[in-house]
Amino acid sequence: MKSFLDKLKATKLYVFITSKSFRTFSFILVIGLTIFLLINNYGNKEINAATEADTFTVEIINVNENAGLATIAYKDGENYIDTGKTKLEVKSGTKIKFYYKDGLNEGYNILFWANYESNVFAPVKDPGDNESYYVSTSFVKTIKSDITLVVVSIKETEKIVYFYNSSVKEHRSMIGVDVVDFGKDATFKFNTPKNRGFDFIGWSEDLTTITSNMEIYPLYKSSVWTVFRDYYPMFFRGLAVTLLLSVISVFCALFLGIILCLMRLSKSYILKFVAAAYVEVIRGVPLLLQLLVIYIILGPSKIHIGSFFTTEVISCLLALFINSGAYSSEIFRSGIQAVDKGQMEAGRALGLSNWQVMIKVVIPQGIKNSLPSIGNELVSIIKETSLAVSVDASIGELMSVRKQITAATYINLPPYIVIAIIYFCVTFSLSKLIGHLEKRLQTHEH
Amino acid sequence: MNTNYNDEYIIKVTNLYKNYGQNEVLKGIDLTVKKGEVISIIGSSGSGKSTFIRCLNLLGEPTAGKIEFEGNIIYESNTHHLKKELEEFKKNNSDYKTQEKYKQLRKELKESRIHDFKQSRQIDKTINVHRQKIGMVFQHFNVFNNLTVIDNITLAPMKTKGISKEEAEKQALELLEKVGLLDKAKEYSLKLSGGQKQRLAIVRALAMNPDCMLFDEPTSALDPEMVKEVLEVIKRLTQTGMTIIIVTHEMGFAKEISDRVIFMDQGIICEEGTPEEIFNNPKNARTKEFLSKVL
Ligand SMILES: Nc1ncnc2c1ncn2[C@@H]1O[C@H](COP(=O)(O)OP(=O)(O)O)[C@@H](O)[C@H]1O
Ligand SMILES: [Mg+2]
Repeated sequence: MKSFLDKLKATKLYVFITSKSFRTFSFILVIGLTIFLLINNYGNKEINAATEADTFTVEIINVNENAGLATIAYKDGENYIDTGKTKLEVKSGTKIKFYYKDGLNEGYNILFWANYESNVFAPVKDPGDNESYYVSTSFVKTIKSDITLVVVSIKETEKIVYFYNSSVKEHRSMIGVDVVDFGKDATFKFNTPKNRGFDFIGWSEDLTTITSNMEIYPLYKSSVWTVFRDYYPMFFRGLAVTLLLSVISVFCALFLGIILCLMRLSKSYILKFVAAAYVEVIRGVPLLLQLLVIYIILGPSKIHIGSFFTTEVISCLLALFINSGAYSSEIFRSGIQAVDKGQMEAGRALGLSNWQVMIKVVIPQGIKNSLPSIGNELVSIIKETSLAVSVDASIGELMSVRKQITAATYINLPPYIVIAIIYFCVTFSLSKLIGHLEKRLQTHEH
Repeated sequence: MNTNYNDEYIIKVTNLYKNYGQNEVLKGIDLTVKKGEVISIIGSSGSGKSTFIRCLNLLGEPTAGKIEFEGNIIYESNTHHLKKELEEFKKNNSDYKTQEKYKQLRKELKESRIHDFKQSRQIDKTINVHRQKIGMVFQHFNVFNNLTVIDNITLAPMKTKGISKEEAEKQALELLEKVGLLDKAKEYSLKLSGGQKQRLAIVRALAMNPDCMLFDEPTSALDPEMVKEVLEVIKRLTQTGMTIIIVTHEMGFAKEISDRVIFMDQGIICEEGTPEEIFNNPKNARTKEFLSKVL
């Protein structure tokens, strides 16, 4: 028995499991999972809330920048009758809960909206029309992959209706046929990936005219997992852009860093001053500000190289380059200063000039000393590219993926969580890798 | 420049001072080294041996004094002495302002300062030529960690003398063979043992064909079993007629190889003489005390 234990202890797996880094990793994993599950739960709750039997929700989703006061009405003959929702402060994402009340619980055939001041009513429009409030009704209940619609806007009772999932003809497919009655649940299974999200539910009695008065804001089962599952190509594209921006800017910044560092180590006071001033100013000013300033300067020039390197991307790269150059120069400086003074002395004692020793002996060793910190600089630049969203989401780096997903699904939190997890995985494993390489560099030396 | 060089001495140090801030480390050292002479410098730790030997190739800049190498003045400064003299003079004469000597001193001091300034601007360029002829070996080897053994050796000859790579490598391999490191030629110097590193450091200096070699405690940082291999190399070097100045704590070795032994204490040369004189028959009380401790 004892020998078995000894054997067990000798295995690589045992050593690995009991190692400190593994324990740290598992700890982080458990914390991460807990958060993940909590968030997941949160997502579900939101959906359940929308299934309260006697309510349905209308969401305002397409208000241009300025929020305003609006009235939501329905039409009875020629008259617009307000739904009791007047003087509503609406902006994108505002949800309005309607209750089935006496006399009103027939639902609304078509909802109309009006600016509170003008009182000129217009029907709710397709989401593509930016000019209007897009008011949509939602009636959703989700049971795993099935989605249940509570049908509220059909006046006639007991009718066979066909349901469709998109307002765009080419994308449209039938998602269900049901006999509907007012307030009756119509249940659809959405199993195919195509049907997972939808921007619209239209219904038709005769398969020809699709009525869109049941427009639904795409109620998306907003859990972290589903967001990731459905949008992972977007996330990975975002990640690729982020990594590309980071790697390009850090790589270029290395050269700037070395030049600045050499300037600081030179004997010329002017060069020293220029380099020191550059480094101190850049390090003393927020990157976001640098980014915006460069964008403002470069913006009008509309320079671009190919389709990827737009003005925005170039501004972003330039700002990261300028910023990272300053930090790299400090990294190199401390790396070079950490080189044993004896190396320079030995070189000088042989009759080599200061620069000859610098270039052949000290700087190569200094750069080697700096490699781990340069890796860490890459890690922090990976995170700092997220500031690029504030210049322009069109850059398409990881952080801006959230905007795109929110635009499509009207959910905010889960994509943020997915992005956080991706950032964490990349940076955490990168720093671990760097730590590992650092250790190897050190063991090679001794 | 070489006019007053009569081949008798290779290094001549006159009244050398060196301060680190307020700390006077060297307090007037005079030494003349003849060509082919092997000189050992002994003394307790902190007595200024390293400081002195590093002044010889100006790795450390002296505060005052004169250093000649093969007839060239590579360093000369009087400012420190003149300043002291002036202060002394001020202290001793209350009416110093009216005295002729005061003006004279001030004028000399000014000229000396100008000389220092000019010298300091020149030194960094001119010294490299001299350093090429003064090999130096350090206590901590200081082999170039980023280079292979052979590149360690060929770097300086190629850069300073414009020797071709092939020629430099050929010479390097010959030297490596002499110290038994031929099989390590392509290895990174970082991977060598202490003794191997120090042998490499010696070979690296020798590759410049120096006229003299300075050793600063070449075996102090070595494990005992490696001391011998390094001392062996140095000993063989003494037999080639090389001028050598070596700071060492290996008394037996110093006794064996030296023509002259110098005992330094608190920044001055306390006693010097042949190994027999110093080790068997020391005259100075401090020498006696030191030797009684280490022997
Ligand atoms: N770079 C330095 N800065 C200040 N003081 C120094 C420096 N180098 C040496 N010293 C001082 O000079 C004295 C002599 O040092 P050193 O020449 O190294 O002695 P040794 O080699 O004989 O042991 C010591 O007291 C030491 O503290
Ligand atoms: Mg010493």
